[in-house]
Amino acid sequence: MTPYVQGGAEILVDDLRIQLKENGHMAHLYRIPFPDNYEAALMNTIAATRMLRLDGYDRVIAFKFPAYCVEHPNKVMWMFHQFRQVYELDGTEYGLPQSGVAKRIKEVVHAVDNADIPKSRHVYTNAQEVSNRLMKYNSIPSEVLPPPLKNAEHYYCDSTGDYIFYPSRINSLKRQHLMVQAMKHTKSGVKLVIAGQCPEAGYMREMRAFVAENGIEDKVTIMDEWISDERKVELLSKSLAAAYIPYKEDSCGFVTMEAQYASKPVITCIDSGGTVEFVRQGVDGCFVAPDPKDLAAAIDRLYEDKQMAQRMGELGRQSIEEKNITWENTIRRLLA
Amino acid sequence: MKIMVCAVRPDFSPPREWELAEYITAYYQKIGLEADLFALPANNDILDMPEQVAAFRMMEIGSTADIFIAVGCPAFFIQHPNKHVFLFQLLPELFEYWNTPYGVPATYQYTKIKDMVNVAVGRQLHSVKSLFCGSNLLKEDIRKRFGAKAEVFRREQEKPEESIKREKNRAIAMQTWFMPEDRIELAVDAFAHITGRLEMTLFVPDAHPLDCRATQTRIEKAGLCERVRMESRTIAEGDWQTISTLLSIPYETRSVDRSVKDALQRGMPVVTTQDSGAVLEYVRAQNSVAVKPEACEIADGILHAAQLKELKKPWRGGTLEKERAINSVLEGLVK
Repeated sequence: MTPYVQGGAEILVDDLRIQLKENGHMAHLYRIPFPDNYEAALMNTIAATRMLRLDGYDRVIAFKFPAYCVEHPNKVMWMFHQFRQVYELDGTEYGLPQSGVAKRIKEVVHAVDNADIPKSRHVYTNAQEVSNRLMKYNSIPSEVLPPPLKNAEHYYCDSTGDYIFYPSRINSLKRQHLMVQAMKHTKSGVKLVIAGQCPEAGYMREMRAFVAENGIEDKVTIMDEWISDERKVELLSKSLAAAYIPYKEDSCGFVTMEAQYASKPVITCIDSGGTVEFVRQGVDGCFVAPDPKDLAAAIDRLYEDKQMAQRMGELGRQSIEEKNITWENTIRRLLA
Repeated sequence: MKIMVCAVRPDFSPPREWELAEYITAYYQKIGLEADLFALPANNDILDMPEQVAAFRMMEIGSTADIFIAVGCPAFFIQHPNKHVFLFQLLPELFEYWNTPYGVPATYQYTKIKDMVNVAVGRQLHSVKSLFCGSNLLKEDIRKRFGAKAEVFRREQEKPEESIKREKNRAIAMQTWFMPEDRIELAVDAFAHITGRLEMTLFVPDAHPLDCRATQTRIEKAGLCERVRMESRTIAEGDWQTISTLLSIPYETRSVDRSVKDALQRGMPVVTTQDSGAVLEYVRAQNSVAVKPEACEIADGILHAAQLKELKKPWRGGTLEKERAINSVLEGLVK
């Protein structure tokens, strides 16, 4: 886990620990620190992880690299994502810089994944996208086990408001900047509310500068902080729709699920990855090219036909309830 | 300022390191600093110690933390230029329990491991920015074995509103995590020497089911089923109303169970043994009884404690030696 970062994966894992305890199991959560200077530290981190002793446990559930390198006869993988920088992000602006060291890191991570992942008793992933990548890059078959949403029953629809809500960790991969840029092009009275922690100070500065330079302060609210679940539920309940437009995200994202449980349509992008598993074009959300003008058009359409937005939200709610993603089913699979 | 805290969580062991790590993290978050907490797995098998030491030594936490706080062993093997260490004990199986029923035997294999660990631990303790121990006994151990300097810290304890009025027909209590050195068998054997209606409650939080079963069998064989019961939890506030004396007889411990201080603060005597290590840092003649580690002596001690008069001045914290309150320590680390 990345130090000082509390994202969807961290919330899910902690929720799993609580759910396991509530189901009568003793569960401990361990976090293997993933250092920021990983070019130098990667080999040590992998070796150290492999040497950790977990003999006293009947089952070990691993989620991310390098934690899934631990050795245990009853290890189960519930993969959220691999070290993406050496897989699908390789060669893009989000990948490792092209260098000899990066090439070596790529070789090592591929070799470790090919060796350690198949040692698992079961290999689950949290999304079809992750399973597809695991097969494409490592020829490892897996089964999709979508993560249940924490406190799904808390989400509700209060009203169809006048703002798009984007509650997520704020960083370049989540692409909140595209939504902000889209607000420059919107013609309706729609607003945008972004909320989440932002570990990239430069990214936040650029977004705020864009807002100021284009005079859209009255349209855009950026809450650069971790908001409580209660606050998030409240803001979502009164929104027009939710936005979730990451770049090639593995899973549909908790934002998508939260929006659907709150009966809100979801605005996403055609290259956002796992959201395609939950959102249907024109039915309970919209897929848009990752372009500010296209996003602005989609946002305006929803604002101008709030009845349509409301119907889409209701269909999204119905869809996610039919999927029956519960902790009971999930734990049964993880402990099989 | 960014602070990273790390502790280990050996299964079925007292969670004191983890609880302290949580406390430290919460303290810094409360005063507005960015603090993150990691738990790492470790087991108590000495044969695995070299590998675990190597694993922790190689674990990288990156450059984002300004301060790194390690609680317990082997967490303090993680490298960081600004490392502060808190210890409640230091591999007792290799030191104070060496070649006893509570530690490892002095075989060739274990002797080699001990030699390796001695060198590795010594290097680490000399490289840390500051070192804090949970007892004066541990501080002295570290000074004598490794020549390293440490300070003693004291956890804050909530002061009870008033002393509990002791009554003769209340029970004896003992809190244990079923560690071998807690000597629960000795406690049961001692209680078997006491006739009459006195009862004993064993508080056994987070205990392994097999340990519970073994102890229950021992209680049954001693014919004590009617008078000794087990509760799978820690002593709660309401329990103190039903307790007259606390029994704490660990072998050469360097870490005092919280229940000892809780009992003394409530004006309740503690029965311990003359080889109970750091527990003796808290006992005084007027508030406790320290006897030889034999069943009949402990039984006499329990009966003697029942006769002790009401403590006029319950223990209000501190030992004979100088200690620093934990909050003062934590404040000092970030100045």
